[in-house]
Amino acid sequence: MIEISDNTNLKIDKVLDKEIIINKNVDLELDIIKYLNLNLNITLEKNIKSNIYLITIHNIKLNLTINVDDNSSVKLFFGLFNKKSTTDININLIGKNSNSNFSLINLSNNNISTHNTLVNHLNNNTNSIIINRTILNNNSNCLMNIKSNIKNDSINSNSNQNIEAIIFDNNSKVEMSPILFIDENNVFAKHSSSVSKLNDRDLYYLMSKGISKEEANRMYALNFLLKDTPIEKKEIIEKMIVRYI
Amino acid sequence: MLTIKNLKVKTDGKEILNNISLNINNKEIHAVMGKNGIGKSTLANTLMGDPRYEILNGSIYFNNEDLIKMTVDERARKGMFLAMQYPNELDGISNLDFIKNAINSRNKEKINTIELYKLIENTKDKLNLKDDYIKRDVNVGFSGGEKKKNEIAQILMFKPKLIILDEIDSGLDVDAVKTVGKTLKEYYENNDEISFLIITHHTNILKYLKPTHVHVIDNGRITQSGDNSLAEKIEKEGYKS
Repeated sequence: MIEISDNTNLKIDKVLDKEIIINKNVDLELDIIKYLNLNLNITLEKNIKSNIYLITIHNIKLNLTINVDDNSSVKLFFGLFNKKSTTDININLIGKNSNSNFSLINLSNNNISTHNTLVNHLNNNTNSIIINRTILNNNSNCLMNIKSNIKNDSINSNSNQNIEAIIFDNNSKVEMSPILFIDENNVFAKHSSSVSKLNDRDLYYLMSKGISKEEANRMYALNFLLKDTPIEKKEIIEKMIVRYI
Repeated sequence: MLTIKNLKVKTDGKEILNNISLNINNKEIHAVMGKNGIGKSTLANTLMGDPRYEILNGSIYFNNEDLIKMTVDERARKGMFLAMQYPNELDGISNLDFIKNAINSRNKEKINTIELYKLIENTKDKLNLKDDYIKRDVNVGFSGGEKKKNEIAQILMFKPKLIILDEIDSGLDVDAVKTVGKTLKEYYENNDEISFLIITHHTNILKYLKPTHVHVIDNGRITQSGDNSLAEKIEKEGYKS
């Protein structure tokens, strides 16, 4: 078990099966430096606000469970620029007034990825926002599932799911399913998903003004993927997009 | 500057332009007139390299370089500019990013931020564009007139040599035609290497940019050519004469 009470950059270079407890308002960076199969269980104790970041170019298979106690909030941001990734994220909003905000951005270039997110609302006034954004290029395949369970007696809870994808080529495929299971009347919940293809006419317009196809793709990718990137990570994500598009 | 010889173009299996030849020299203003749907916009978009149009025959040279071999963006970087009849709305791309990238694509050195803002500010004032214009996504939520003014703003900032105006005056009110017309006239007068190809079916914009040559297209062919008096005649008598 690891106890986190300061801002921490957790370098992960071997298979981990860890229990992490966060008991202070801290930022945790999961710094993955090679392909790994990870099982992590993170608990936020009461009255804690924490940011957890995972930005990687390495392939990963991640099984992450996050338990959030009373009056605590977790902001989770994943930026994935790898060839193969499978993420299974379970967020349990156990305590009253607990919150989670999870943004996953994925630049898929000849990439196969599956992202499953499950949020369990288990108490009153629990809030979750889950945003998955992916750009697919060069024969990529992506599956994105989001499930939110709002259990009985989770009064005044709020769940918001949004999945968006832009496809740059003719061969990439994406499947997405945002699902809500609601067992309580007094809640607010919404979900949406959209897929769009880079429009040939828009591309022609940009090119007719001197912008190359590659630059046009980069402009769309930057705009799309930076929308939900936290301000403190915008610079690094921008560099990654420019490098990997 | 531009030499078109025996140009034959089709789209969707249908021949639109047939045997078009045109020579545009530096400082010339050519107006191509004609009824709706006879191939004027096809000519403009073919010159720019629109992939919807297939060239069956003929050649196009821009400053002695084979235009047909160039990609759309290469043509623009060589100095061609098409002010589109229906400018696209680019959701998610701000005018600022778009202009910055388009300028940088033309120059070896990237434009610095102060210079860029000065250029945008001057252009915005010249064309009476709204203050938030630069923050908004390209043409998204713009009125028809604002979209056309945005095309003209790009001309002032990208500094092209051959400007193709495709029905630039359609959708503009009287005051906007005046602003656009005066701005383009000033651009023409202040540049040594500049030519215009104006696609239009009426003469509003030609009051400001007086054509040196006027051509009438019908059924995909140039049927008449002359000087500005031809445009005046068409304005009075229509295309039947």
